[in-house]
Amino acid sequence: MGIYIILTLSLNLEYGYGGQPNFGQALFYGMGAFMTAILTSNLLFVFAHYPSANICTITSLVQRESIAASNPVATLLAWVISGLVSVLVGALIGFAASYPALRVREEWYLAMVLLVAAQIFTIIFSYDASLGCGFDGIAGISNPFAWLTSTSIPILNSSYAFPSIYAGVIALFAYLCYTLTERLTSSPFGRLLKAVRDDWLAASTLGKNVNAIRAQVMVIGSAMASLAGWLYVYYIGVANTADYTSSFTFSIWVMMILGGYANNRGAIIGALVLTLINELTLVGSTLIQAYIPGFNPSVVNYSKYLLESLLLLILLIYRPKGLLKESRIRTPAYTVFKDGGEEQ
Amino acid sequence: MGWLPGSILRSIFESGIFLMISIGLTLTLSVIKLPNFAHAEFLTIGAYTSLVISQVLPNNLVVIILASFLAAAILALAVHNTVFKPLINRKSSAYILVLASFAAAQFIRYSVFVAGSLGGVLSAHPRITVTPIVYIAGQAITNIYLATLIVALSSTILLSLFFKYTLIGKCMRAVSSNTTLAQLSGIKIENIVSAMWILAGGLGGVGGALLSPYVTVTPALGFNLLLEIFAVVIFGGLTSFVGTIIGSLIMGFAENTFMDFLNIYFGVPYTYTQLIPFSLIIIVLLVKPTGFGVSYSANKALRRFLKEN
Amino acid sequence: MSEWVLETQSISKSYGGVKAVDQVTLRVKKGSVTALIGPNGSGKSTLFNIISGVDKPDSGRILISEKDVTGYPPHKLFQMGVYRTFQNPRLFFGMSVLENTLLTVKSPGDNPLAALLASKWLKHELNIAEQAKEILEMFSLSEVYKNGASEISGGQIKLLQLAMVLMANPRLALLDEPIAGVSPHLVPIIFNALLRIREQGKTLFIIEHRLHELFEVADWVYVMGRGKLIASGKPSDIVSNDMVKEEYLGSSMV
Repeated sequence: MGIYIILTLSLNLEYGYGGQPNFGQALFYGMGAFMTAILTSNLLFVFAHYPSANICTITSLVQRESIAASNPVATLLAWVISGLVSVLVGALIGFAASYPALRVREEWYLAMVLLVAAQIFTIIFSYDASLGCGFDGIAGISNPFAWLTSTSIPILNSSYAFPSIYAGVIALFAYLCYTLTERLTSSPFGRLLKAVRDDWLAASTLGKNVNAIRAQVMVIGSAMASLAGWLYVYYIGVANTADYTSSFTFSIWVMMILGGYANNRGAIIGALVLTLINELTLVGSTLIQAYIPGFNPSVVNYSKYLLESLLLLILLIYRPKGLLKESRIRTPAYTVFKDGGEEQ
Repeated sequence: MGWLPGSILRSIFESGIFLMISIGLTLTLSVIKLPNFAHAEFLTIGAYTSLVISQVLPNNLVVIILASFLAAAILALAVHNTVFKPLINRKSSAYILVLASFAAAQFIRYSVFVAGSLGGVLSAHPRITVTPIVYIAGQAITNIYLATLIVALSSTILLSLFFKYTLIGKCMRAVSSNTTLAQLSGIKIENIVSAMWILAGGLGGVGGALLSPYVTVTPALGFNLLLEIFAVVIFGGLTSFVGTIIGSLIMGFAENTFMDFLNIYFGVPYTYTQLIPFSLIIIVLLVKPTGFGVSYSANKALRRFLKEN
Repeated sequence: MSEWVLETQSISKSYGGVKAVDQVTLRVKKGSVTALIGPNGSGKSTLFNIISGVDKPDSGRILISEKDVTGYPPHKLFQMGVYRTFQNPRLFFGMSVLENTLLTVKSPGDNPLAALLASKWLKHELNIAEQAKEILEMFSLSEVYKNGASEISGGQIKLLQLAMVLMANPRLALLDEPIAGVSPHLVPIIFNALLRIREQGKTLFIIEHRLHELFEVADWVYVMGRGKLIASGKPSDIVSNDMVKEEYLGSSMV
């Protein structure tokens, strides 16, 4: 949930404010996830003084899990370092991805380039086993607080404490990302972003370095997406290319459009509503299977995608602005006027 | 070098398929400048139509092609009227149109998934027999090979002639170059755009039908080819028929002869074939964003047309 | 310091074989109001595009205060003090009047890292907001400051453009038809605004078709026809120049 919020906030910053159509969100998210998984697998062995080994084998997976369950220092160190590196790598790829934007002829080419880049990422990581263990992905990334169970601290060593702690950590990061985007966008920088989005030529005749601004927003946005990838891998326990497809990117777009373009609170609401709908279809599928024998459960699974695309079409056609309307860039500048800039 | 002749023949055949499945998108782009990501779904519909019809009339290629043209054309018109028309009327940005076509594509695809799983045809083969007619250099030239090449080339040539010489074709070019001008000249834009969708969707459907005997028909059939279609069209410069033919040839040869070459001499596994269209897209977009095709000078054509009439 | 803010040296630009601007050499004096007139399609706006960096010339040089700036991108030219308005106003219509005004000024909070720390830009922001308030009052726009730029009248948009010029405090302002399409009662108001900008010591280079009013304020006039510079001089000379009359000035216009 928190992870979706971060991703939606990131896309909203890039597209809602910055006008950069990131159809390759899965690339940045997936890169963060794979960086995390690869680094964690190797770092755990280093910190716990194990001989280095092939990270794809079952033996190494079991070893990883046992280190995570018993060695808090190694686990937390690997967690923090892999997080920092993923965010850094995400930022770098974001910078690289902003380059094609300077060259494209038709508006939608950038969308195409990012979509294709994401696709290339999936194919390479799926087929090249030396990078990320191929189709199986890198498994055995335990919850960074799983070692609590081996301690003697009461309550915290119970089997439900560590997942809740990690859920809290994710929520905390989602909150931090919200504060970050909210601050970024209620500032002269936010004003610049919108100006570049609305009319880049006019912005550039007003002395704004459009290319630099586009690069900045892509760097920030993709660093956030990679952060989400890092959090996700430690939550789900595996980095697998099947999780980072264009359908996934599409879901994030639906969340953003649903919540409202260029509105950070809207992005959160969009993420929450769509996750809720998806959960409901899941519950629905279980119920239907329980009561109607012989019903094909995959139909309900498909209906999730059907619902998502239908929702987006209805939104685009009937309510393109989403649930919450675009918010004004609220800097303190308005306070110098008599009425303090209150909305009419 | 014994692999070469067969490989070249396969390349040519696949080029025909690529041409057939891409030409509709070129048409869409050249008339209403819409990068339609739902184009690939027309293929899926065509393939499923071929599947259904071949149960009743096995091996009747003519009926199958006509039926899949019809089915996909109807779908294209429906998508246009429900989704694209309101958005274009509101002058939505290109990104919104891309997103909407993505949504439409997903909606169609999963509708087919639901229908397919209820009907038990999530993956099936149409009853079309592939029969070799002659063998050249060990490579079988089948009835489908020939049909594909004939249909692909003739429809592209017909489309070109249609564009150049018929009134409605000229109008289409007028619409693409300058909508207001076209309105002034008394052309009913709505009818032109509908005609365009019938052709674009229908040709996509025929592409799907011709593809169906060679692959397993699944609801994701079109979607899996989506980026290949775009690679062909982008390579051809988006709006040029000649460019699309060149793009198809490049794709066909790159995925077959070139890939065989890489595999035989450098040991590159065939799984990487999938990367070829993607690399082509990235290369074209970054190196020569105008593509390699020749574009019609639509404005000039319109002026001539207005003078003639 | 040179007394010429702008010099162009044999600027040429063609589009598809048509010479839009042909060997134009002209100079704009510091602190002056210089007019650029000519029939539609004579290359005036193209020349402005080239001077402001929106377009690149095929040949020739552009000097701003004696510095060669040929081929500079628009944002660099802005930093050199060149401000440009467009014939069809290019404002940020999704944003408020105040936001548009503030966008003409560089802020320390334009940098994303500094933007996170309000202390880095808050004081500057309040300062420029005060300044914006004064300028908007001067142009009778302070009532609509929080309206979207798409919600104000066409005349107000023209005034906002000029308010932004004043706010940006440029060395040279290129104004592309600041009066065109404005209802008659607003014309004197806009001219007053132009005069006020000139009082601040700014150099104005104006494209305009309302010659009568323009010639009252202009110090120097350049006339373009079919991409070429065909005449230049004081407004009084231009009015009596036969060649200019033939090319462009109908007797009804002056």
